Amino acid sequence: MRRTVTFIAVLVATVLAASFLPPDTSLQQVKKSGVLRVCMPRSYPPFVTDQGERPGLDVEIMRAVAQELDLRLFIAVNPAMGTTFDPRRWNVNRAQCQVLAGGTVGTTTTRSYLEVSAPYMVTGWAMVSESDLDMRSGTRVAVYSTNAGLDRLALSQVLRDRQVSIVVAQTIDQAEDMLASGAVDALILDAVLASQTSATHGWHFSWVAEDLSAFPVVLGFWKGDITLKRAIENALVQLGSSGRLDEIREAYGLSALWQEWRATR
Amino acid sequence: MSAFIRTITTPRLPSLGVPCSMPLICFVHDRLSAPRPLGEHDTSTATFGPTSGHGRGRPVRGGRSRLTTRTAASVFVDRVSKRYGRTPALVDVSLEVEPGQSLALLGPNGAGKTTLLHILTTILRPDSGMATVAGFDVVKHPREVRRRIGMVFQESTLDDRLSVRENLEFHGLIFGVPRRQRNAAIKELLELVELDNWRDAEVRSLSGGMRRRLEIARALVHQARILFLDEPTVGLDAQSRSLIWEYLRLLRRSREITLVVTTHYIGEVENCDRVCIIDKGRVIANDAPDALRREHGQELLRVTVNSADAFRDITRSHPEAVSIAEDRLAIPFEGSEFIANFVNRYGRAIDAIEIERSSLETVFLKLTGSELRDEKASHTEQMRSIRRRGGELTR
Amino acid sequence: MIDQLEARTAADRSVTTTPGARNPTVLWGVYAVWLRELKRAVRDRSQLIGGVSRPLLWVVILGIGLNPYFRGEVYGEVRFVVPYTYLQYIFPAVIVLNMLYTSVQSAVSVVWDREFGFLREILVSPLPRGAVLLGKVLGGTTVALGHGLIVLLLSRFVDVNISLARIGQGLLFMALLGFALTTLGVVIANRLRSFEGFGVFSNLVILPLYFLSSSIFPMDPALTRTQTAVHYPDWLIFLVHWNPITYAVDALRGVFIGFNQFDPATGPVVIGAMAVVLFAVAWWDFRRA
Repeated sequence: MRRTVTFIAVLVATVLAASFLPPDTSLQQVKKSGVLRVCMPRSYPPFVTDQGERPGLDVEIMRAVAQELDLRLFIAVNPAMGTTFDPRRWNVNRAQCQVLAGGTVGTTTTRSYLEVSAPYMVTGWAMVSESDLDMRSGTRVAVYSTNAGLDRLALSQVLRDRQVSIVVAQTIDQAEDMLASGAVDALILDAVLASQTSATHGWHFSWVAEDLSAFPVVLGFWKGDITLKRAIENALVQLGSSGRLDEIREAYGLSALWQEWRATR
Repeated sequence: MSAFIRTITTPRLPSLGVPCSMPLICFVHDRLSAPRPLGEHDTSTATFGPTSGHGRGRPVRGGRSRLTTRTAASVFVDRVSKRYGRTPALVDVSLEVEPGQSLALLGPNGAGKTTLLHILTTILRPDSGMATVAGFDVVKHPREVRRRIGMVFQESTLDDRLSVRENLEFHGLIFGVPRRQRNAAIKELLELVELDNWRDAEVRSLSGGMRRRLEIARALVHQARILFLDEPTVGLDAQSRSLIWEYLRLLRRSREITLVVTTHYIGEVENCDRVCIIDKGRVIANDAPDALRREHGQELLRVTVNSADAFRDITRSHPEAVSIAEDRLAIPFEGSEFIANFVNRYGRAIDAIEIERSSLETVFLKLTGSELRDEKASHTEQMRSIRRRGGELTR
Repeated sequence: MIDQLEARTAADRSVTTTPGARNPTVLWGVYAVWLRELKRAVRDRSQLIGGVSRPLLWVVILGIGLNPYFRGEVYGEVRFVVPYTYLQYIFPAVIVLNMLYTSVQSAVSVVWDREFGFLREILVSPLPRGAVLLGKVLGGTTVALGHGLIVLLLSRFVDVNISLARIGQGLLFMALLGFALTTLGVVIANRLRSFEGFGVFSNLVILPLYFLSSSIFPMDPALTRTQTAVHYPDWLIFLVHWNPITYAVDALRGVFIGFNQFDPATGPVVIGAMAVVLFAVAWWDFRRA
């Protein structure tokens, strides 16, 4: 009886041990080259900005991660990432980078092509208004959108269904002015921007609609790069517990957004 | 939960005036109500097992139920016949075993002993005739029969991978022995056959004799009153053989048990109350060994001759002589002068001469006209060797 | 020693009279047969080793080997892409593979019992034949479940997230599959007269069933518009569609990695039907014996 149990225990231990084998060499290769290559759009505030001081949420996070992993960070700017939200048009491949960042949203579509990490931020279409507002027929709304990021077509569909009158704002400042002057009842824009705006002006923040909102922002990896994904996720966890992530989020005025969303999950 | 299980497995009979929780089951149960043994109902038999028993229902040709005062521990065979294809295995066999008796079925291989045993233990069905064991018809109420009998087969039916104790427990469980009785029976029987120290050993590691002892013990875990043994000592050395009979003797002393044993070792049948000689499917004789010796026993002169002429001579002048081999004869005789006369007459042609007093061997020779040779059961040996060699086939 | 026993037996002449037990003896019989199957499986070293080596070879070695060929390297330029890695794709199939082999083992045990006499011991008992069959099949199911679980131990390796809900659902289906496969083994064993049949059984039945179940390659290689012209030969597609194991593998894939090639309900329905039909056949076989 004892021998049987021992035998089975040995077998089970063997299988479990095998399950800890590295299934791929992605991390190993990155470590060997010493460089972590990340693809990002040229500009997608607040994830990636042009300013030197505050280069962007994702840039700072990736810098911290690379530091944590003892690697150099190389940012491969992919212009296509900034011009369209449809990832199939980005033409990214493995040779360019190992990680995709810059506001990559973790939808089912993304997941079907990429491995994704745990989220570190949330975005989606959000609404800013003076006070809590229900969008009805006749509500005047200013929409500010960038080419990167969220699905404008879906948004316009929803807005048309609600018979809302739409004005397009060219810059974020213009949008803010419109709301401040009362030319419009609400602003619709990227949640991260909305959070910053509403914090600055003391306005009310809310999500637009179920299926247009609250998308987790994640890091994307190539399918099968499990070891690299695990290593970077660990790094993120370390940064999270040490408070560094919160610091970075705070610097971009996104703490409130993150905390609120975390609380609802 | 156990109350629920009790409810679904033991329906109450409406006929007893007790409410039934599952009407359909009670209805069916009532219709096929538990059979009663023929004759007296012996309450001294400890029986375990499901209380419902209904027969398979196929009527046996030529049989009629005989109402006799038979108690629950007996075997009754009435003109049973069985054939395999065109070969008859049993022809009109009838016999009876009283409770507590032991019967030896003696005969050469192929005589039909195993077939008869398989019929009595409900493994086979007779083509015609009737048999009752423990008061129940083997065809109509096989399950009732099985609950009351134990069987030790010719080939080992133990599970090699389980331990001694696990084999016994398995038996107890499938025969429905409640836990406490099961544990008590296992303990007692292991001590009886002296396998107590091997309780947790894998059966694989036991010798042939020990396995036989285990099988005998196993057959009794459910307190069977009738034990059938098919060639229990075949393949064992002489010492193990006598040990097996010793255990059987002990068994009969410690409890009221009926034994039916088949064997082709003539020496062993002395241990039994009655001997039934079967040859070519027919019962040739059925009596106590002493009675058989008295009636059919004869004195034999076994002679080995050294010339074919002498051989022919002897057979011509002694037509009752039986030729055992091409140079051996067995000549029945009476009176002591015969030996002296014989030696005088054929002295020079005789290589060896042996006097055999009346014995069962002589009885057998007289009744069947042939000797019962000590053959090895090659079938068993073959299977055992496969098992020892093999282990399961890999795919 | 015998003298001591004689003394004891002389004293012990009591015939214990016990009324017929009212406990559920048929259930205990089923339990006994089930337990025996379990014990034998646990002590069968070669089967255990096989149950461990198979996932290691198929999942770890083959999985790693073919992984690079199954993923889209260019985001947007989809090639032979399936929305998971090859490791994840083959993982549920290997669970089924392990279970297929345990069904062979149950078949072996049925023939073994019959050839080496242990079946006689059961047949001479008052246990109803149906109960014997049920015990054997339940035992085989449990063993099959165990072997399936061995494969699940590699879930971390293939990066499949095993949550409690998923495991529950998966185990339920695996139990059903184990039941069906064990019954299949028993039905075939009842028709096999000798051991030679097993090579045939394994090579002609088990392995083809496995390979033709879309276990190693997905049925639709054309996952993009550019490849609609490519598809497998019709006879292959026909065989795969008529193989019940295809739907079993598909159902497990649905549970563990969320990928179904067929309607998710087909798996349980097909395997359930198979289990019922085969069990009926086996039941009839056993009652005849």
